[in-house]
Amino acid sequence: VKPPPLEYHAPATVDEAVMLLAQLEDAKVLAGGQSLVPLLNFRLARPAHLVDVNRLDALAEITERDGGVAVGATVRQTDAERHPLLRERCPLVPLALRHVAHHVVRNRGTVCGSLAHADPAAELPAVLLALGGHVVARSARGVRTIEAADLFLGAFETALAADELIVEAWFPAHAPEDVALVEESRRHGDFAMAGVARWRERLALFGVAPTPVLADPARRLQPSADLEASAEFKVHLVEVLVERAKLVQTGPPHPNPPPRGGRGRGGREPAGDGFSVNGAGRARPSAPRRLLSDYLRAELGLTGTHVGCEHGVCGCCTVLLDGRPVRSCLMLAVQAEGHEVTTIEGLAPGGTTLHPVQRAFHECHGLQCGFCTPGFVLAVTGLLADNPTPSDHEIDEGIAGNLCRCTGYASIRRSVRRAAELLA
Amino acid sequence: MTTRWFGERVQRLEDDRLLRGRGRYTDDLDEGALHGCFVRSPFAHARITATDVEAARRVPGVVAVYTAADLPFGNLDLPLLIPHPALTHGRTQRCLASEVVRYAGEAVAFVVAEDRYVAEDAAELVDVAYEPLPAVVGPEAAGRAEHLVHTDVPDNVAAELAQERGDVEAALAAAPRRLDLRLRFERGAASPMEARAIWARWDEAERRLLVYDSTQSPTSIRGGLAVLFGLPETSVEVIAPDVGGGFGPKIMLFYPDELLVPFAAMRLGRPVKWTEDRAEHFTAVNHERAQVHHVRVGFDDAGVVQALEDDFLHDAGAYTPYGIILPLITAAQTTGPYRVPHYRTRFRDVYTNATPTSPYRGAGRPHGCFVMERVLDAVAAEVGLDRAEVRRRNFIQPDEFPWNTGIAWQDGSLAVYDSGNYPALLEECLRRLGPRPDGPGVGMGLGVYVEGTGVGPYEGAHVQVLVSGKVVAATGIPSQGQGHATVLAQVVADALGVDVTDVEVRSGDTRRFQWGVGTFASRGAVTAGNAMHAAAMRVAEKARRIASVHLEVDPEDLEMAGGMVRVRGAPDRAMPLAAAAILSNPLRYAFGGGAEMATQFQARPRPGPPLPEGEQPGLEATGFFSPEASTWASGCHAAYVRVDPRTYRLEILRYVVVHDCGRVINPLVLEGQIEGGVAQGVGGAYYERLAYDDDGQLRNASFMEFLVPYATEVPVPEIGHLETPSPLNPLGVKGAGEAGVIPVGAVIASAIEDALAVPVREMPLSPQRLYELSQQTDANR
Repeated sequence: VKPPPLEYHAPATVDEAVMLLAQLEDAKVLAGGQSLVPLLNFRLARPAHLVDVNRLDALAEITERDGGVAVGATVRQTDAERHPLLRERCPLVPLALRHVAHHVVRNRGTVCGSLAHADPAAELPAVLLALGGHVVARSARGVRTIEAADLFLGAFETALAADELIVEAWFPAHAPEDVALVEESRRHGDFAMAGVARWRERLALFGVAPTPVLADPARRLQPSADLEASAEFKVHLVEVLVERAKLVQTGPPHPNPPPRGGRGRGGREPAGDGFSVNGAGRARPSAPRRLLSDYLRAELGLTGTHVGCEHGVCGCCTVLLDGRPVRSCLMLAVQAEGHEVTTIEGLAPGGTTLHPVQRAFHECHGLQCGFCTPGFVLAVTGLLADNPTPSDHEIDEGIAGNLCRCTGYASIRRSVRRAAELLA
Repeated sequence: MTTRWFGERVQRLEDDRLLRGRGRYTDDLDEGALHGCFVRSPFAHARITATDVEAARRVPGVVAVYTAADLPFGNLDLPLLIPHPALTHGRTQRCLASEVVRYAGEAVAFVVAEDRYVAEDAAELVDVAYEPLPAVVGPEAAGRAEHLVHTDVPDNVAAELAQERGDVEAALAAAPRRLDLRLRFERGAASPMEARAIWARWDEAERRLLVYDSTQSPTSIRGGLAVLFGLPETSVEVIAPDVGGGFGPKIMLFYPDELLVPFAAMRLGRPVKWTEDRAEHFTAVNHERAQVHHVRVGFDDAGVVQALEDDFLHDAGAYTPYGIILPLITAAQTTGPYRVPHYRTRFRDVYTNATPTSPYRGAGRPHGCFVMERVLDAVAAEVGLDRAEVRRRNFIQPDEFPWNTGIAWQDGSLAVYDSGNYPALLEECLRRLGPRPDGPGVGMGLGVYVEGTGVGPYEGAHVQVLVSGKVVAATGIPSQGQGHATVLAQVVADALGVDVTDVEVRSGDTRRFQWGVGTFASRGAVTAGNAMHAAAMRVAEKARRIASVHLEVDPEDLEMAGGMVRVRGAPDRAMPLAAAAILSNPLRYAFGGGAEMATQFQARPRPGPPLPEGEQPGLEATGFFSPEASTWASGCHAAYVRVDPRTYRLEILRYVVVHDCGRVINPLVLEGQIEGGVAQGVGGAYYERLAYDDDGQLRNASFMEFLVPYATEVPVPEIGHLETPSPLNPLGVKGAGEAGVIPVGAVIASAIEDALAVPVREMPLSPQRLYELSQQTDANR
């Protein structure tokens, strides 16, 4: 599955971005792309134009404002999850983010993008609703504030006009003991069958209606069944979760280490300079719809990056973008402009001694067929750079997001522990 | 002291390049290849009334668009791989459907373009008009036969087979107690991380076809392509390079692409490749697992089973390319390690409008194990005995081997267990499992199984000592991650007395070894392992023969160690293996590297011609192993789980495996096989289910919705080994590839039933299903 033909625009300013959205027929905003690019790959979305907002550094800030915290449009979920302002002033947001897919996805996905996508089973829309937050939308016509209660109109449907861009999401400040988030999902990181975000007595339910909804004993929920849960089971689950959400005492958030790696050169470089791969500045993709994974493999001959699903679940195509693991099948190659990409070939270049993570996988039999291995090795490299002494639970969470069908993960867990020793 | 590699935890020799991203998978080949893309049926059952490919052909960059009418083999039914007398109504699909499509995902047209992106653009423009027909969804609907999948197959029944040992009717009538159970298994998918891929190049000048294929059986593909294209087998080479997991469904003859890609390469004169994407993999590649069993069991007050009758439906899918192997295996393996003196099994293999089924790791065994273990849990509950005790009372005992089941095995003979010690497996497993954890919602589950492994007909191997002293070895069976390059090297290294790192094993490349069958049925270690052993022992014998002349000793007094052929008891009288390799080939011309010692004026004078009568040049040999019968591995799994009694979230607290696959070549590799198998079993027990709707549409054809577990869902099993060597092969080994997966469904079912006190009669389970079962149970209380 490959994206359909499209035109790609990478505005450098917010003004330019909203002008493009005003002028272009059938344009779609591309932020983290973790939901949009799979839809493009499956050709379930086929916009004529993509307006990539990732270069809008003005929107990359997290700031305290009006008794709450504002999160800009290009703030990655990983950065929000770790940001001191959010952890101290809006702990429900980082708490919820721990449930959003997996860390490799959160390295690229954005907070505002998740709100704009409006998946009925997503956590962040419910958080915004529970807290009574809002988004700020800009267009060539001006700026407006959309309250959470007015933003979500239906499944994957918001009050945003076609020419509007969410420039920030604003979450009211709250005490850690006043909030909770509980959900039931099938696998770690999956969209919830049902979930509850709580602020004091205010409960936003998700996964049980076309939009997040505030719990109202007077109103009977009528969820649509999905593959994993019938309407009746969803109602049952949400009853259980409401009880549990009231009991959960969240307490102060765990003091996560500050994020490492990061935006790197962050798209600040002018377009047209290409991007560096494994330390060599040689990449200049031309076809805008070509996925980074395909570009690396077919045009640069770096076939160590494997393609296993092209919808961002399996993790075989994981590469490091400015040091952080991301899915190369969920990025257009042109989006890598100005960044540093590291593929598996770049980890121990030229047949030199294996990188400690590679060595650990060898010692612990952490690979069988080898197809998922480059993705795992890079994901683990990113994980250990971020957290050099992960607990067993952190290892499991850190490697969830990459699928392996051969090893059963037992030997991969051992490999991660061994790699941590070798790197220490 | 001689190093012995057999039994050592040798770290894998194939890892380095895989870890560096230097593996070579089929999709990694390009060489200017054109790219293919399929147009597939969106309907489960429909008549094709018109096909228009003109718009697709006009897309710039499109080189060809093929429909059945464009193919010389367009009207050919693809081979029925394993015919069986009971398969009275076998049907196979055509390369591209032109009249009727019988499953969503069946190939209809094939686009070839300069680039996959363009091929996909063009495939969207192929206009096929369909007239939908009623879809037969699920084996029960097939059995009711209100609609037919094939108009010429009455009642949708492809095959029917009944077998019996003893007198079940009489034994059931005489049994003090009886139970009746209905058990169900849903469809699942192997889901290797690499989907399928094929690349082909036709060399017009040499009239040779070169094919890279992510297949589990390159030798068969080669034979088939040669026949189909009218080429000598010697002009077709098929290579299974690195393959990113197989687990069964990568063995077929043929998937449509395996013909179309070579055909297009020959027709277009350029390399052509096709790489399957994940979405199409879900419907284009064979599935497994759907069966519905109706069981009657008769037993006594002591919990001893006297008679078992099992009548089951097997969901063939739309075609039967792989014969009836799956239900045959289920039928043979259902009674597992238990005596069950009277046993009758009958199956009907029925057509449905869904992707065909063929073996996936376990291949009918998990179903049989699930049936028997559910039966024994029910018996235990009925007579008020501990579940383990009921198993003890029904086991075949260690002194009763060989044990003839009297039921047909997948190779046409009767299933006869060669060796084992089932009571010891159970006791060791329970000992390791330890005490039950505290807390609500905890359940214990248990399952014991046998596994027929190492099925024939044969495998072969070629071993050669190079003039450098390094050893190269080759076998026909490809690896999909099982570690052949290491495990087989261990066998060779022992026979030749060399370091394991000096042995390079290549597998699955017909250029290197053209004979063999394939990688399936947990057969690699038994068949290729013993073939390697045979070939390497011949090489060792020849090395001793050569060295004996030069060392002037009897070959019997020579041993192989440390890369030398040396006199037993006098290790200073020795010759490097490299020298024996040089001397094995009498030379006229010295080309360096020690070659002068084999030339005519240098070599030690010996009576007779330079190459003795009956000898061939080169220190090399070919060996084969053809088992007289399958080897039967066995094992016991046990687990503690916790199930949230309100959300039905499953937590596996502890999982123990005690396994017996005869002598173990490499425990590291073996444990990897078992751990991976357990994870697939857990997936199949609680997460993975192919969800078809009433129209026969697969609703979860993505990794978003088909829930292959992550690390967060899978336990780390504790593994113990028992070794009852097989008497049926020189190495004493049995297969292990499928062992990890077989009893997992039964164990999880048993544990959940114990935790929630709801009857579990189906696989897979899910929170949704446990909620429904709990509601029903509450309503009945």
